[in-house]
Amino acid sequence: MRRDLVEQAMAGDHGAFSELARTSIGRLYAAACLILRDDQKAEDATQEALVAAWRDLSSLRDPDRFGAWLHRLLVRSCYREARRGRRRWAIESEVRETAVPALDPSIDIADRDELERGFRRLDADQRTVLVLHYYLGLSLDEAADALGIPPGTVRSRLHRATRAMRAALDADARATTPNERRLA
Amino acid sequence: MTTRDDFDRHLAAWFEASAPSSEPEPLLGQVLARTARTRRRPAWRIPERWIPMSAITTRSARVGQVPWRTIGLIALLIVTLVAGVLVIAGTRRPALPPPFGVAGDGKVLYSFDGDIFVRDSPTAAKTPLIVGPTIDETPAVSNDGSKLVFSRHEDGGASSMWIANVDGSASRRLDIPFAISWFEWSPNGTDLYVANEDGRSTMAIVPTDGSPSTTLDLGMPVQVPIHRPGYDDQILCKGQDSGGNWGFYMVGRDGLHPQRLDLDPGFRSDTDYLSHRDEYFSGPAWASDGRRLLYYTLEPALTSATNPGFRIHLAEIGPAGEVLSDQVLESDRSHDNEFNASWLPTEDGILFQVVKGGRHALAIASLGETLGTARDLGVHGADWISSIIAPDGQSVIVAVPPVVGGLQSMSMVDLKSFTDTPLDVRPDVTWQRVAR
Repeated sequence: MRRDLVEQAMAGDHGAFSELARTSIGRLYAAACLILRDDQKAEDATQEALVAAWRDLSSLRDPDRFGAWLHRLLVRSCYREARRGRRRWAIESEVRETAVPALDPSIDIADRDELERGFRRLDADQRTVLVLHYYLGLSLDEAADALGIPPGTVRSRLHRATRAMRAALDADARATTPNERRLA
Repeated sequence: MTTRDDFDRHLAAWFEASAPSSEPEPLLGQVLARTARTRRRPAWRIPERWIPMSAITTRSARVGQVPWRTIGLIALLIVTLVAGVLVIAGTRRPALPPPFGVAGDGKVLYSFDGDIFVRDSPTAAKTPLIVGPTIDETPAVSNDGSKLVFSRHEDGGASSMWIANVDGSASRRLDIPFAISWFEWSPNGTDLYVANEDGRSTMAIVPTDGSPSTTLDLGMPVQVPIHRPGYDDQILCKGQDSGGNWGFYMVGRDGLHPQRLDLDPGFRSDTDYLSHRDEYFSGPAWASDGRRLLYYTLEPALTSATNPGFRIHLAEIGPAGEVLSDQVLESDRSHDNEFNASWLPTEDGILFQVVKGGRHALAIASLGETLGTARDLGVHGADWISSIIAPDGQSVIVAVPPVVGGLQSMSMVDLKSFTDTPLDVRPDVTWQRVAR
């Protein structure tokens, strides 16, 4: 984030804030989609996070922390959206497809399906910490700031999330023969 | 399937592949349209006392390798001190002050650079109380002046709450089931009431004797749980209903059937309510009778219909949580905001903060049937002014924020003469109550 833009936005310059929103909204929306698995809820969460950022920007003490602060607002708005419809967090729920992604050819279809199934089985906390760390690329300290929990808790939550996903993938692998996997 | 060796790489690649490449076309426009008509919130409108998680969690780099020899020596010293304290305690048992009302001024405790220090009075020389390789902060002494809780960040990232005797002895970790944003002592020091940091629907009652804590799920976001004086089974907290409306709730120690206090009738009809609803109902403060409740909330401004401001309320609450009366205490109609009221220990007046023309100030006023004329303490700042009233009610320690960067300036103001004495303490100061 450009520090000068953040400082201008903190001083009330809506144009500067518009530029900050334009450069960050795509990544925020994508992260919200991954966390919530629902494009409509992701839109709402992204919008709420950015409106909260504008409303409360004057409370930001350090302009260099704008990115971390924005991630924290997004996480909170995602949790809030999730609470509004807990049904969608359930493993068995019908998950609406997000916008059609550009698929990475290095990941085969079977892997994608297994990862998707494993990810859906995680709880909200585990999904969020995985998205922050592996998608947004936040360090443990940065993720701790975003989640508002100590880095040690992030570390253990991340460990449990990756362990749960690996266990889910291992279970899928044991239940699937090579021929079946090719047909997946 | 993916192997363990390339699991991380596959996961990151899968996220990239699964995430949408861009946001929906109208989203940015919708955001900017909303922000263009959204009023900025001033920085000082942080309604409650928060434990700064970032301050607790970002300092681990300063903590070096564990100095076991030093820890051993400190442990030996602590054991010796505890033994000494026990001998002394066996021969002399000091009287404890009442949990509310006027008490004597005891020691002043605060944290500095990860250690907790104590002074016999605000201007006396400082003495280290809890020192070591851990980061110890946010001390708070119980109402009876006998115990101390503080937050501790240890090497490796773990943060926790600890309890000790007020002399620093017998410290031990408290069993708290989640990261917290708020804690408050019960009047007799037997419990802490804590709220979940992440804003979820839980609070907990944490016994200070080491027995397991009780988590209460109220089914809504919960903030600032506090005890109701004289009603051992009632806790007041701020909660948010499913419609997004905040309010104060009474709940028992079982957490079941939270009952909303019907305060500030018609607040949902206020101008721009939906834009500001997160700022309604803050700063609850009970009088010692457990009936009179101070709080503040947004009211449509008298000077401008589009510029709501905080106003202090005084409500009378019946034994079952029924609202018997609720009146606005307005000292000066020209103030943009009046808020964050505290009872003076004599409970015949209040200390509160005002904002006028962007300038913050502290004021006191008598409170009988109506609020008396506000008297400006001469403490002014550009942002939220923190304050703590002396147990004897004769003075107040204030923390005035800097205009640009730096530390808050600390001072003690005499509540009769309004004279100001600079202090070399830190803003997370806590003042021990002692028997008079």
